Amino acid sequence: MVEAGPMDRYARQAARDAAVARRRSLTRRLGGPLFWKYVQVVPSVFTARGEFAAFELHVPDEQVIAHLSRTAVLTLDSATERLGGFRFGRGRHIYAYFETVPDLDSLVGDAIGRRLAGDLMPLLLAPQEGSLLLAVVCRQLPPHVQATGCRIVTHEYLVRDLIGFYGLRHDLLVAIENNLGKSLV
Amino acid sequence: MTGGAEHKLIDAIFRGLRGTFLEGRLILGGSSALFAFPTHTLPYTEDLDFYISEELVVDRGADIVRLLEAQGYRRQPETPTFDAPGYPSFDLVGYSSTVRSDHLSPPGPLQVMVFGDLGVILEFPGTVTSDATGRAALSAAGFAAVKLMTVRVEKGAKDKLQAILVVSERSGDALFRGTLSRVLARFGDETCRDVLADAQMAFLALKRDPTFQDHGAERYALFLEGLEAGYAALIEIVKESLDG
Repeated sequence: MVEAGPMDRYARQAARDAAVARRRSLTRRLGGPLFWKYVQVVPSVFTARGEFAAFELHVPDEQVIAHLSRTAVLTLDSATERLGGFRFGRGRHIYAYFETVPDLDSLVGDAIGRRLAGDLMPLLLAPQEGSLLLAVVCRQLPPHVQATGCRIVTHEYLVRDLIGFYGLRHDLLVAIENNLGKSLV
Repeated sequence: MTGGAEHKLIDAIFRGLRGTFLEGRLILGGSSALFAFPTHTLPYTEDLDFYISEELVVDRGADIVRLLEAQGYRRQPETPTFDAPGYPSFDLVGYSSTVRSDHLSPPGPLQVMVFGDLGVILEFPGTVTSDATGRAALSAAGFAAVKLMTVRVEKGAKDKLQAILVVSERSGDALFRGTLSRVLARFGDETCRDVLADAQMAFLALKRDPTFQDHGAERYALFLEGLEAGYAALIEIVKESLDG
């Protein structure tokens, strides 16, 4: 058998890339108008919006949420859970934006949790059971509203965060359309 | 734009080709086209790409290799890649005026990978700039079109994010917008929608790729703002393509 030269390998890689793109395109077309509607959303990438930190939690989630109601703005699954009764990700994590580092530090001072070392690694090492608080300290809090006793990002911003975090997946779009109670885009 | 070694190599190549059959026949492309027009977008690349027509490679492959080697560039065996000590390497990448699919040029003294979309983009007015000395390069609109149409599983996000940043910088430039929108329209509605979806998907890379976070928090914040503004502008440009 003749060994493929560098150009043959290059051509095969290009063919594989093209095949991936074709499959991706066909999958999108299955989404029809829903896909086109959400492709017009400018994504917001939660973990890229500021200093990212993860906390192992020492108290029940509801106690954490109560603490955050004064200092943070909920987003992603923490927001969809409160607004639409569903979570999209498999993890039970709490996602929140903070405005200042002292607000973040108060989690430790108030014995809410322990900050984990590393930046993005906690996302990869998240425990199968139990939840983490995934926090971002940003220069300016995103637009938010008061709802269910918490501060939660606006509907529009929530969709931007969801697409920036999970990507444009049909199951996510259907969940948004079916569970969040109003057209968000 | 930084890139001292790259600029020197680009100058040396174009200067060396003046008065030869290759004068005006190589087009500086890929990420290295960012060295050819004013921009704050970083190339994130270690080598240069020059586009060359497949027909020329077929007709004069041996002459092309001979000429570049005579200029002091060493060809890496069995590839269209050349290098010289102390400089980045550069690749010859093919385009065709007749064949619209990706393929290898026929075996011969020089063989290149030919990308079908490139031929469509390069033949469109306004996608290439050139001067009287034979220097030719992708324009900002040509660059954005090439990167938005490029399909690479690895490094694909980099292509899209660079394109979005250039769109952001040029979003107020009617000529840029018009050229990009008309080029994209050439590929049809479904491809235009895929272009937008691929660009949107590239944002996912921001949460896991440290490449884009190595420039300090403040610059990174500006980078994010540029991406968001660029994507918003790209939505409008793609809509213009669909309407056209």
